[in-house]
Amino acid sequence: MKNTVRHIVLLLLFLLISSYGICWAVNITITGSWSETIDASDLQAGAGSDLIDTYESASNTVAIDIIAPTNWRVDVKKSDTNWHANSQLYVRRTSDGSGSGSISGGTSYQEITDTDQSFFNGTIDRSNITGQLKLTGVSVQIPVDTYTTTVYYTVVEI
Amino acid sequence: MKAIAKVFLLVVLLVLGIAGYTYAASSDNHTVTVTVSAINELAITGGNVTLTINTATAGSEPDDAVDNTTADLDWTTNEATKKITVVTDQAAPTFTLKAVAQNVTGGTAASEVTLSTTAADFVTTISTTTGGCDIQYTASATAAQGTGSDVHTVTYTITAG
Repeated sequence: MKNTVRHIVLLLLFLLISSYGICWAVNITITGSWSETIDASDLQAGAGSDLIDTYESASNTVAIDIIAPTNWRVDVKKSDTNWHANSQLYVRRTSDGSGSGSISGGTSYQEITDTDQSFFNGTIDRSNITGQLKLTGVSVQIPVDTYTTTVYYTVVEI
Repeated sequence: MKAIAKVFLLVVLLVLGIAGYTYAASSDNHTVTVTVSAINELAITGGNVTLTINTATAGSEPDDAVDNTTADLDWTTNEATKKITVVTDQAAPTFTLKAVAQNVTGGTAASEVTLSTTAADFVTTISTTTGGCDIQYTASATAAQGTGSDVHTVTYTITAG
């Protein structure tokens, strides 16, 4: 009976430690957002011309902090509130940030879709990793409106 | 048997624990907002137009003076159901001045219109597009109207249509 109780206590401790691991093992924090207003000043050559196709945010629009005890990967996806099908959104990493770990990948623009895609990866803690966004596919075919999407960054231990 | 069951349970929990550890993840997000403002831009290129009526066939009224190469009109709109109207500031011209859009892209030419101080359709069915046209002006006079000159300031406006 004593052994059984001991085993149960050990198992509960194990479960608790495992669950605790899930909670603190990795963490990602995103700072920043991007708003772009498109108006007549964005026409390629005034009346009779179309809108400029491509817009870029500042190179440090997004700051990413990652806390992780081991190797990790950051995935990215978007979830549209109201988005025009003609437009595409891209992201790229513009700095390595700082920290004791390493970082690689993600320095070329990649399209953000509605499903998670690998963005970049690294090891251990990194902070102030900066990111830049790009919008393409803009034209006068896109009606007057406010278009919003939410970009999700997920850090996954690997 | 009890011991085997305990070991089995331990292994299962161990696997679940490791699995939970392996797939540990965290997520955060930010928004991207794109505001597209109303754009209704229109421009005349080519400058001022001068029409001179100075020929006639004996026994007939003077020949019309026509210009369709000097002035062009260009427009851009990202709104639906627009049109371009034309109006002159000349309330009482001596001679007749007509205008019509030619070689239209991004819209439909309205019929030739005699310019007046009341806005008349010039190009219609414009919708989320870029466009352009040549502006053809035709000045006409009768012998009875004599000589002289009218100066018109012609204004084109892109508006709801």
